[in-house]
This record gives sequence, structure tokens and C-alpha cells, in this order.
Amino acid sequence: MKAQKFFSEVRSNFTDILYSGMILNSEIKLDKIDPNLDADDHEALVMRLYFLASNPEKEILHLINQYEEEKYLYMMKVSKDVWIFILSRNKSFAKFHFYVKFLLVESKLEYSPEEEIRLPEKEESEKIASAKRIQDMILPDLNETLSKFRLHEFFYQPQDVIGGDWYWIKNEIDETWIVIGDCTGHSVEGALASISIISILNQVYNKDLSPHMLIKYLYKSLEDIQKQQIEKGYGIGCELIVMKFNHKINEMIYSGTGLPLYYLSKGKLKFNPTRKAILNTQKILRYLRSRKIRMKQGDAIFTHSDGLADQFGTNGKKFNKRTLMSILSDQDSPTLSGIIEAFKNHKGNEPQTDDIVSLFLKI
Amino acid sequence: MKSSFEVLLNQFLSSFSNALAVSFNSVEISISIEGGSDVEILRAYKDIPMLSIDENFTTSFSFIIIESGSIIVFFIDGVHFISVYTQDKEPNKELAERMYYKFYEKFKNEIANL
Repeated sequence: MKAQKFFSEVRSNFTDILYSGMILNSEIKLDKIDPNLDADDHEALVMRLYFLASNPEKEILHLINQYEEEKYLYMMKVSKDVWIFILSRNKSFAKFHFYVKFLLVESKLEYSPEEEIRLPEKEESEKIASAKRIQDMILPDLNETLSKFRLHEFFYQPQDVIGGDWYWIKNEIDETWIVIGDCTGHSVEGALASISIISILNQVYNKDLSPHMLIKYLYKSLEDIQKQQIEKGYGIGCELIVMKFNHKINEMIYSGTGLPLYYLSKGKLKFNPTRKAILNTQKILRYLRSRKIRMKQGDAIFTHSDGLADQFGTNGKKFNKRTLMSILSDQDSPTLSGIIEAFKNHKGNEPQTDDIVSLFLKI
Repeated sequence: MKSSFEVLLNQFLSSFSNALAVSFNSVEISISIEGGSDVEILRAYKDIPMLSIDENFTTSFSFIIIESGSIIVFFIDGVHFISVYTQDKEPNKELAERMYYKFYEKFKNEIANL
């Protein structure tokens, strides 16, 4: 039986009801019947009681709470993790109780939590798809922006449809700026964080800055914006790498917090880790510097967010940086496609551990 | 020697048909008083009435229906509560209301002296 069907049945049969609702796996689905009632006032109480009542150590079948003289909150356990509740001005719940039983059992409208759970997921997936379209609009077109490189390969795969990993590219006359970032959180939380960071990045960006100064300005602005949130114990965190390519002289200047840089030149691999700013932002920022690499034609760089190296495989182990390094150094002409193929073989059917963004560039 | 509150609580228990246990708890006073058998059930479910209190302290009754019976909770001033355990699967709400009005003032006076 679908939640909406249940709500409409309740609406048409019980005139004293102010609102009715369901709790499915800790998610409240509310049908506000009385337009004058602020259901939010009661939601906290409903959730509080639900969490107590759904405690496996308790064996509660239903409970009634009377308050504000004429308000009666009735909660009824339908199955594990599924509760129905109503707020009514009528204290007699017997009719409602038997009616719900009839709906769920006698009428053979068997309640299927799985079916119900799919409902919000469908709605949610539509919202996520819309969010993805917005995130896609913010992320640049790679073919267009990286056309000055001899080869560019990119792998972007959020753990969910959207995520906290992101990339930002800016082309100047002879230069290309590339920023790859990994924000805390996944899915909607991560996507919102990444959009916030990209927005700040657009504000602080100046083509004359060095990469480490761009990072400093970015972190400083972020810190100013979320000062109050940080005091409350939460805020946006982000690791990133900023690369500034000068195509005229084949020079790359980079700086980063957390994301590594692999540099391949004439078959030799150099691994340049960057310090994780999340551990001690102030200290890292104080000592943060830009590094310069004079590249030759055919040289390549590779970077990735930690989702790639941290992916657990069917063997229970992480893909890890050592595997990445051996692929890059063992192959004559390594490519990102080759790395991703090895990654997928390692991952098998294991769930994706984290968002992943990875870039391989050849000049 | 039993306190006057304990005497009243036991009087309440014996007046309540089918009642097996009774307890007094409060979110304001750190005294818990119990009486009768099966008091461990009331202890196990103590957090339900404690958190059934609405933000305006207007909660007057809670009925908790469990596999083995019912717990009827009477609230005094929205912060103190007296819980009664019976083996009835359907709590007798009319009896509960009658008992509530009969004992309300007595409990209120006793709580003031705690």
C-alpha cells in the first residue's frame, strides 16, 4: 500500500485528524490536514517518540500521548522501522486503529516497506538528477578547456550521482589554470560544498597569483565565511591541487593540500605528495609554497582525489598509491584509461568508497 | 517508615484495578519512588514518558502499549509523572481519567513537599 493512498484514506474517513504521517526507516512522511496547524511543532515530539519506540529493546506496539488538553498523538507500529501516526482532537483511537488494521491486513493491501521506500527514492532521484544538471553546468567542458594539451584524460565518478569532488579550469592567453578539489562529504552535502568552494574560487582568482597564494586566499575567504559554523563544530573542508601551466615555456607551477602530483618524464616517475591541510590548516598554509616544474614535450602529470587510492577491492585491500605508482612506472606509455581499467578490476563488485576525480595530462 | 508520598502511591496502586506496579519520576526532582511487583518494566520504559513531554509541558497522559500489557502515565504539571503497569492489552482510558482527577490534587500537594 502506498503512503499517498493511505493518507487520502485517512483524510476522507477521519474528520478530527489534524495530520497523519508515516515514519519509514527514520524518515518522516507527513500529510498536513489542518492548514492552520504548524506540524513542525509536533514533528520533534513524533521523532523523539519514534526513536524510543523503535528501540529493539522495547516492545512497544503503539502509544498515545495526550497534550495541550485537546490534542492526542497516536502512534502505531506497523512493522519493524515503520510507524503510522496521527494527531487528532478525538481521543478515541479505536476506530482508527481498526481501520488501519483493516487497510493493511483485511483488505489484503499488504504493507510493503520496500515498495514504500522506493517512493521517496524515486522523488529523491529526480531531485538528485536536477542537482546533477546544476553541478554539470558548473564543471567546465574539458575538451574545450584542455585543448592546448597534447593529451588529456579525465575520470570523474562521484560515489552517488553528485558528489564533493570537483574541477575548475581557466584559460588565459598562454596559460591554463587547473584546480582539482575534494570537499568533505558525499552526495548532496559534498555537491553543495563543492559549489560553495568553486564560487569562492571564482571570487579570489587572479591570473597573476601564484598557485599557493590562490589556495591561501581561498582558505582565508572560506574561513571568514564559515567562522560561526566552525565555532559550532562543523564547516566545509576541502583538499585541492592548483596547477598553472605556461604553454609558451612548458612550465608548470603547482601547489596543493592533500592531493598528490605524479610527474612522468622520460619513463621516470616522481611522486610529489602534498600536505593534508585538514590536519593543521593554519600551519600548512603558513608553509605552503608553489613548486615549479620545467616540462619537456611528452612529459605527463597525473593527480587524483583520495577516492581512487582508497577504494577497497574484492581482496579487502585498498587500491593504494603504490599500485598507482607501479602502473605508472611499469608501463611504457601509461594512460589514465589503463589506470581506470586496473582500478575497476580491483574494485570488482565492491561498492565505491568515495567520490573520485582524476586527471592525466601530457604536454 | 514509609513517607506520606509512598503511602499515597500505594493507595493509588491499590485503587487502580489490574495495576501491578507504580512509580513516580520527574524531570525536575531526582527522586524515584516505586511500589508493587513488576517495577522493572516501569524502569525499562521510564524514558518514554520522560521524552513524551511536549515543549510547552502540557502533556497529561501517555499510554504505552507493549506485548505484555500497558503502561499508563499520568503527568502532573507536565514534568512529574506517575506510571502504572497493568496487564491489560487495551488500557482503560476512562478509568485512567477518573483516577487522574481523583488523585491529581493529592499528588500535586505531595510533590510540593518533596
